[in-house]
Amino acid sequence: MKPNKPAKQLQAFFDEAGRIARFTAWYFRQAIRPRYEFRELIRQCFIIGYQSLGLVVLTGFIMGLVLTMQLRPTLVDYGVESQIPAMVAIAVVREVGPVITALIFAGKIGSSIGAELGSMRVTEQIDAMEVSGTNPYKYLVVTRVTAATLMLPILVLLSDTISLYGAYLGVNIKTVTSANLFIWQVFDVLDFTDLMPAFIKTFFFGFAVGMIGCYKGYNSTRGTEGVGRSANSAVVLSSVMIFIIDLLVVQVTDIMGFN
Amino acid sequence: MANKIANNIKLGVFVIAGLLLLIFALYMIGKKSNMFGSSFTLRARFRNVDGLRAGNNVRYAGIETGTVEKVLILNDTTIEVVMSIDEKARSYIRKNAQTTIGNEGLMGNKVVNIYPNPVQGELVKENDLLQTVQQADIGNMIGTLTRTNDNAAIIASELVETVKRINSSPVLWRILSDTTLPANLSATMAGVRSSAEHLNHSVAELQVIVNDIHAGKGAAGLLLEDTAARGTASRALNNIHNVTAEANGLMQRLDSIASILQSGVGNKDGMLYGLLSDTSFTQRLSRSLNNVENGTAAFNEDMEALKHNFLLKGYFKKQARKKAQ
Repeated sequence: MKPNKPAKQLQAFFDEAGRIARFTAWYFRQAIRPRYEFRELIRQCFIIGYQSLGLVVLTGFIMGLVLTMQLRPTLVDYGVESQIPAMVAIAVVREVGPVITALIFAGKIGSSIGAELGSMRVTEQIDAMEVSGTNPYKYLVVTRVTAATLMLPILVLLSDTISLYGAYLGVNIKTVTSANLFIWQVFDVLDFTDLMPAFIKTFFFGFAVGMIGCYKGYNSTRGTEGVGRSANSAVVLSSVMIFIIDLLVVQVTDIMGFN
Repeated sequence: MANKIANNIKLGVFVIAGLLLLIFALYMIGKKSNMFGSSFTLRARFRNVDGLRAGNNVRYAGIETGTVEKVLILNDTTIEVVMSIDEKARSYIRKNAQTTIGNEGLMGNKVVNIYPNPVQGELVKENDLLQTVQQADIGNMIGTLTRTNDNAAIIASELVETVKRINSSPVLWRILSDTTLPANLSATMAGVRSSAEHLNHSVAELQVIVNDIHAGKGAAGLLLEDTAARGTASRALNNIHNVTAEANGLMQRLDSIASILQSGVGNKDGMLYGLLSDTSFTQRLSRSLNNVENGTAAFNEDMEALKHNFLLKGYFKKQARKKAQ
């Protein structure tokens, strides 16, 4: 009996999930085994981290400024205008900063990795590496996933800082608040339970973006069309995964009493 | 190669900048929690901590000096709050300082406030238990407000009822629509005012009288205020009392005489009966009295004749001279 379309889709979904799980397990197995590709890792850190800085800083600054300007009228109505730094700090550090930066990161790096590895796959460069004795998974996947995992938290820290600077400028558009007071107000409301879960979840975001980008590119098929499809699906799936991980982290931190 | 080195430097700066930011954030948050300075522990016990939890700030006289370390339930009515206080504050906090649980602003987190006591006390030591003051509970305040609202609602409904009764009262409306009422009221008020003036006048006069009485003026004053007159009156009363007693004795004697007379009158053989009831006796008595009168007149004539007798004439002249002297 021929399976109907939803059943086929469900089967394909579970098949894809299983493949990703196996791909992920393979990453851990390859990552702990020598030989380590440090040079390639450093290069990938530069490409993935440093070269994403401009985009992340720009979006972070706009995010902080806009958030402040959007919050102000409501807070003024309630007579708690002085709480803007505190509210923006909590919003940026706990949620907005990590998630928005991760989405930007997924858009830039996920698609980039997916397209790069996809094109290497369809042009049989990966096959050539295997033939030449180089472990393509270790060289291409492990380095990129590790770089993405390590660089996104740093990008998020910088993005948060720039966002708060944008918020500081946003506060000073209508009123005058000293930088000292602003910093004091920001750190007065922040606690380890705000910073640490948000910081730790960015490792998972980075890992998810790197892993999905590599999986989609590494398993790309059907020529140049497949490359575009890989890049696109890498971004979409990474974005969805970011929200799913965010949801899981919020639930876990809530259970652990960090909220 | 140079390009590669430059890229490595850029990456290094990027990573170090990120790590420095992380360290700065951790330091700032840790500093707030007294993680990087020496601290000591103080305790306070409350009946209700109003949602206070570990990590909330502790303020001494409004200055942040520490954080809440633990909130422990000791028994069903006692919650112990263990506070980590900055060592710098040790030389200011005294054992008699008072601790309350408050809010950071209107909607902020809970905070433990330590207020210095105006009376100087001993400085605190490690793990000392501070005095606590239970703040007014917002729940209780809302409860009171609810009761006040209920009372206000009852008053309002009764007021509505009263207004309805006023509106439906024809007598009241007739009074209100009576155009002559103001003039009558005005006249009545004038009368009342005049009466009041008279009354005032009377009261003033009465006051004068009372003052006079107090001053011992007039008969009443003399009676009430003059001690000599009071003594005289007292003596007079005593005399009256004595006279009354004597009169009573006299009356008793008179009564006995009257009874004797009565018995005398009743006795037909007695003299009184004859005197009062026997007409022949009376006639005889009358004749006897006439005879006595005649005899007396003759005697007087005889005596007059004796005065002119030469034998007795000297005696009578001597008697006349004695009388004249």
